Amino acid sequence: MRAPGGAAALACLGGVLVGANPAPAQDWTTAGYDAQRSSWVRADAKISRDSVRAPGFQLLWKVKVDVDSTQSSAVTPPVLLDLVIGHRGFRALGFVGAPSDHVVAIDTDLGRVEWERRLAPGAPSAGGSPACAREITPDFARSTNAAFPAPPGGRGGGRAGQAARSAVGEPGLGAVTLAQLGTRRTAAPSAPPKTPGPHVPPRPFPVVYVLSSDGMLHSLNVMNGADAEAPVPFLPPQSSARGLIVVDDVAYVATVSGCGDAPNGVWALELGSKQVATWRSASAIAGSVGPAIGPDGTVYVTTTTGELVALEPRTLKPRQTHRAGGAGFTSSPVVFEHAASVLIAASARDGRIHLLDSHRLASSKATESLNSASVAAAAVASWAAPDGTRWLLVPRAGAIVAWKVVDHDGVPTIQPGWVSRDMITPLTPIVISGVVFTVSSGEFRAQPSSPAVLYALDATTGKELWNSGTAMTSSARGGLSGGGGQVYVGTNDGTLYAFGFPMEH
Amino acid sequence: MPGAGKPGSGAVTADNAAGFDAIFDGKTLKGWDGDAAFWRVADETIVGETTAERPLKANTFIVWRGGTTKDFELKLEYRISTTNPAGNSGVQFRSSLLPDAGRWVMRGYQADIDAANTYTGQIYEERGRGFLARPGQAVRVAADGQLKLLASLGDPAVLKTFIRNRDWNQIHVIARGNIIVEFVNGHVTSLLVDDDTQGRAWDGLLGLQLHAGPPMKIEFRNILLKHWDATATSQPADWLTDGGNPKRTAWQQEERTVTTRNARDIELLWKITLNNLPREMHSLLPALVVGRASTREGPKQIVVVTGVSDNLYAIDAERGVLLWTKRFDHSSVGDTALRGGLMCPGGITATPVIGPATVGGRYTIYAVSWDGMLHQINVADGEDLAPPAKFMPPNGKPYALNLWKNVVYTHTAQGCGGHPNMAYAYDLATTRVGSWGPAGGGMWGRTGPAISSKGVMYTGTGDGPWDPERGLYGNGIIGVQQNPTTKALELVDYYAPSNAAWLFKRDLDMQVTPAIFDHKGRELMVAGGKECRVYLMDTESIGGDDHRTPLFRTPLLCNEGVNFASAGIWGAMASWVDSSGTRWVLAPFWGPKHSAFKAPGEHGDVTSGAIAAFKVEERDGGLQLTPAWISRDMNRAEPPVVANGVVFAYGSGESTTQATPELGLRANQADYRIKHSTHAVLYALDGQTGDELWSSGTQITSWNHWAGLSVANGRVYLGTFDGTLYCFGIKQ
Repeated sequence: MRAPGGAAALACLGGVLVGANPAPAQDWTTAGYDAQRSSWVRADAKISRDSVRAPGFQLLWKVKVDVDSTQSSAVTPPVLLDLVIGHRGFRALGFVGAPSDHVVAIDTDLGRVEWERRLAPGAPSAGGSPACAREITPDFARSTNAAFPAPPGGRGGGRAGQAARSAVGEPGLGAVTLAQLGTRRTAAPSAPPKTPGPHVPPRPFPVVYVLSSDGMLHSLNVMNGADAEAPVPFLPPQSSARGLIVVDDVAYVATVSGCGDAPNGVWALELGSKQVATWRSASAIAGSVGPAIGPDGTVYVTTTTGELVALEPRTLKPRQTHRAGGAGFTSSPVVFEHAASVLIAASARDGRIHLLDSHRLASSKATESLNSASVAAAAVASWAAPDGTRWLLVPRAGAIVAWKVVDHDGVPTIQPGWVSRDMITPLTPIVISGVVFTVSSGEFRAQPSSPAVLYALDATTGKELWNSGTAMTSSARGGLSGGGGQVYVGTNDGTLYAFGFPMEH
Repeated sequence: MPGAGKPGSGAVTADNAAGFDAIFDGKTLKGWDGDAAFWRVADETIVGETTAERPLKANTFIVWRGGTTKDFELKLEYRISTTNPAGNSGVQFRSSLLPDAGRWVMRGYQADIDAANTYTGQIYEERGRGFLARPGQAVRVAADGQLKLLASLGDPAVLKTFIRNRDWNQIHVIARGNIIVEFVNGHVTSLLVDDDTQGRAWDGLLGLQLHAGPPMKIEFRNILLKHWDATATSQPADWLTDGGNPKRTAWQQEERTVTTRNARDIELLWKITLNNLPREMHSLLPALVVGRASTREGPKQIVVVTGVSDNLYAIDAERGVLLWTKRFDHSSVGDTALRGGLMCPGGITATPVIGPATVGGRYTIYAVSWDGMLHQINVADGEDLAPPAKFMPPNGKPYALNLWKNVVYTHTAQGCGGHPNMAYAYDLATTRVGSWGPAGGGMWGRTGPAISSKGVMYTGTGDGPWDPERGLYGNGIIGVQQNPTTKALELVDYYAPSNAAWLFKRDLDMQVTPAIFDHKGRELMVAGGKECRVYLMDTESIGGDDHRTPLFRTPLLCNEGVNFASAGIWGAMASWVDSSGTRWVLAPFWGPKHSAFKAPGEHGDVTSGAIAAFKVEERDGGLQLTPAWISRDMNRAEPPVVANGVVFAYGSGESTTQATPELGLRANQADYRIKHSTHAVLYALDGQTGDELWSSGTQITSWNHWAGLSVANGRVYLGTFDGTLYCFGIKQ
C-alpha cells in the first residue's frame, strides 16, 4: 500500500498525475523518445557502461504479436509507461502497434499481454502501393511537453526514502516525533502545472494516443485499451503517418509517401477543440520520426527537397524555412541544446549533416560535414556527455557514426567522433545512460535478410560492450525504444524483444 | 451390565453415566483409526489381538478421532487374556501421534493394563517419562520433572485383589487441569499431580494400546466419555489484545465451550449498536474481552470495544448491554475534518491493549487516543487510573497496541498526519518513549506488532526500497527491541525476501502482522504479504546471515495477477497446535487462489478469498509449511482466530477496490467503496480439515473494514461499519 506523505505520495497519486498531465520525460513517449527526437534517455538506474559490460544484461522475454497482414508483420518499438496504478495493479506498460490496426499493451516486467484490440475492424485494407500498405501501422504516443528533459540527476529517484534510526524521548514528553512536531513546517500545496491553450479535461486515468488506418486519433485508457472518448478525425484514411507526438494537448504527425488521399505534410490536432491544422509540403517529408518540437513549441520538419521548415505550434503556420539546396534531407530533424543555443541537426542524402541555429534558421548557413554515407539516415540521435560534449549519432550503411559538436570561433561545427563496428543497415540508435544501443537490422543487404542483432556500445568511444548474438531470429525495421533498465526491439516477424537485467519475481 | 460390581462399587449405572457420550458404537470402528490387521469389532467390543502368525514388532494403537481429551472423565471396560501373562495394554489420553515412528504410534499419558495386574491401575507415560504414579501411589511431578510421593492410596497387593482375571473390569479416569485420578472397579488406584511444565500435556488424543510381544488379546467395550464443562467452574478466558496474545497467534488456548462437534449449534447471542460515528471506512475496532472483571456489581465478563471517533465502550458479555462509555477529549487535535483520505481517517485507530489482572482483579486498558495521548482506564468502570500521557503525535495512525513487560508497543503507517512511519515503545515505568524508523511506506500489520519471548517486536515494513546499508528497510520485516537502559528502540534483526525489489516495484508490501510460536525447542515466526507467500523464520535469526534467507518460503497462494489491491495476504497470520501436537499456520488471503497452489483439502473454487492452512513439518532436515487445506470462498477473508480446534474466519464484505478502469485511483475513496460493500459472513471451520461447520449467513447485515475477530468463553465477537457489535456463540 502506498500512502500520502513522503515517497509514497508519488506512487499513490501516480495514476492521476500521469493521466492529467504530461508524462515525465523519463518515459519513452513517442518515436525518438522526446519532443526533440533525441533518442536519449538521460538516466537509468540499471543501465551503465559498467553494468552492460558485466554479465547479466540479456534477453528477458519476447512476445509474438498476432499480425493480420500479408504485407508486413513488423511491430513498432513500444511507447512506454513506467508506472500506472490500475485496476489490475502497478504496471509498467509498453504500447506496440502492428499492421492491420492491431494495438497491444504489454506488461514490460513480465512480457505478458495486458490487453489488445483492433482499432478499426471495419476499415478497408490499405490501398496504394505495397509500400503504403506496409507502412500503415498504428502509431502510438503519450502526452509530453516541449521542454528539454532534465539532465541526469536533475530529476527522478524520488522514492529513495529516509534512513531509519532509533531514538528516545524525554520522560513524560512522548516520542521524539512529538517533540519534532512543533518545528516541522507544513508544506504548501503545490500549484497545478500550467498547460497552454485549450485544456483537455483531466481524466482519472492515463491515456495513450494512437492513430488508426482510418485516420482517427484514439485516446485509449492505458488500463484496458478502451476508448477514453470517441475517436477524433485527424488524417485522411490510409495515410502513412510518421512520428505521432502529443505536446501540450496538441497532437502532431507527418504524412509521407502519398499514401491514401493524404498530402505530404504536417498535421496538428488540438485535443481540446478537436480542430485540425495542416501544413502541406510541396515535396515529401523526410525521415522516420516526423516533426521535432523545439523547447518553445516550434515544430520542425525536413523535406526530401532540402527544406527545414519551422512551423508555429498548433496553427502550423510557417515561421522560418532553411533551404539547404543540393541533396534533400533524409532524416527527421533532431533538436538539442548547445551552450546557450538551440540547434537542429538533420542528415541529407549526400551524407552530410546539417547543423542549424533555431533562432537564425532562415539566414544561417548550415554547418555541414561529410558522413560518407551510402545509405541515408532516417533519424539522428543526440546526447550530451557529463563533460558537456554534445554528440550526434547517425546510422549509415554499415555502421553508426558519432560526431561531436564543437565550437569554432563561436560557431558550432561537427567533428568526427567514432565509427562503430560493422553492422548491416543499422537502425537509428538510442542512448541510455552513456550506452548506445543500436540494431544491426539485417535488412536489405543479405538475401534473404539476416536476423537483427542488438549492440551496446560505449557512447564516448563506440567500443562494443555487449551484443545479443542470435537471440533475435528475424530482421528489424521499426527501431528501438528503452527505459526502466530495458531495451526493446520489434522485428519484422511480429516479435517484440526485451533486453535488460533479470529481476526475481 | 458392565462389570460385576455391587451398587456403589463403581459399576456404570444409569445415574453415573449421565452426561457421558458413547464413543464406540458397539458395531463398527467408525471414528476410530487403527491397523485393521490387529483391531476388529466383535460382540460389541473392540478387539485387539496378536497371534503367532501375525505378531507385532512395536506397540500399536487404535486412535479415537472424534475429539480430544482435555479436561474429561472416561469410563470403559476391558478384558485381557491371561494366556500370555506378559500381555499388556492401556488407555491413552491427552496423547499425541508420532508419525515418524509409525502411523499408529502414540505418546502420552496411559492408564496401564496388564494381564498379570502388576501395572493395571497405574498412570504411565508411553514413550515419555515412563512410570508416573504406580498402583497405590499419589504422586506429584515437580516442575523440574522429579517425582514426589504424596501419599499411599492403598497396598498394591490389596488393590490387585479388586481386579478380576479373565473378566471384565472398569477403568475410570478423571483429568482436570494438571490433576489426574484413576479408578479400577471403583477403587482409586493412582493419582497424579503433574506440575512438570515441560513434560505434561493439557490436551490430546485418546487411544487404546495393543502391546508388542508374544500373542495377546485385549477387549474394550462401553467406552464413555464426558467433557468437563470448564466454564462452569474455572477462570473464564480473556482476550486482552488484538491477535489474542503478544505473539499474535490468534489462538484462544483456553476455549472449552466451542468444539468442532457443537459448532453447528452456534447462534447469534446478541448484538448491540453503538453510537460511534464512522470515519472514512473505519468504525469499530476488534473487541477485547476480560473474562472476570471485579466490578461494584460483582464479577462480570466485559467486552471492550473501541470506536474510531475516539470512543470506548464496555459491554456485559452475558447480556449484551452497555456498561459504560468513554469519549476521549480530542479538542487539541484542532481540525478534525476528513482530509486524510481513506487510509488516514483520523480518530482512534489502534486497538487498545488490556493489562493482565492486578491485585483485586483490576484490569487496565491502555489506549492511544486521536490526540496521541496514552490513557490508562479501569475496565470495571471506565475511570482513568492515571492521567493521560504524551505518547506520539496527534492525528497519526497507530496500529493495535501490544503490551509486554510493562511496555506498550505499536507502529504507525501511511504517513497519516504527515508524521513519519515509526515503531514506538512506551515504557510505563519511566514514561520514556523509544522509537525507531521511519521504515518503508509504513508498518501496517493489522493487529500491530508481534513480540517474541525475548521482547523483540517484529513487523512488516510495507512499501519502500530495501537497502539496509543506507538504512532503508522497506518491503521487509524488522525486529526492534527496547534498550533496557536507554529505553530507545533498537534494530536487532531484519529480513527481506530475495525479490524485495520486485515487491517494491509492484507494491506487494510485506504488511501483515506476523505470528510467533514455539516449535520443538525453537521459536518460529510466520509472516506474509500482498505478493501472497508465507515465510517461516526462526526468531534467532529471521533472515539468516544474509538477511535474505528464511527457513522456508511457500509458493504463491494467490495473486496470480500481481495486483496491489484486492489480492494477497492481508491483516495477520494465525497459528495453533492441535491435540496431536501438530503445529498449524493459517493465512487469510484475498482474491482468487493461484492456479498452481494445491492442498489436500479444498472446498470449492476460491475467487474472492480464503483461508489457507499449513502444517509445520520437518523435511530433509529442515522445516517446511505443508499445505493442508484451503477453505471455502470468502468475500475478502480476514485474519482468522482459533479456539478449541475451531477456526473462525470471516469475509468482511468490504469493497477493497482501489482503482477501476473508469475512475482510476479515484475509486479508492470511502463513498465509492462503501457503496460497493456488501455484508460480512462469519464462518466456523474444522481446524483439521477446513470443513465448514457453520456460517452466519445473512445475519450480519453490514460489512467492516479494519475490524477483527475476538473469541473467549464460547463467544465470538465481530463489529461492523454500522456500529453494531455481534456476539455469536453457544447458548449456555
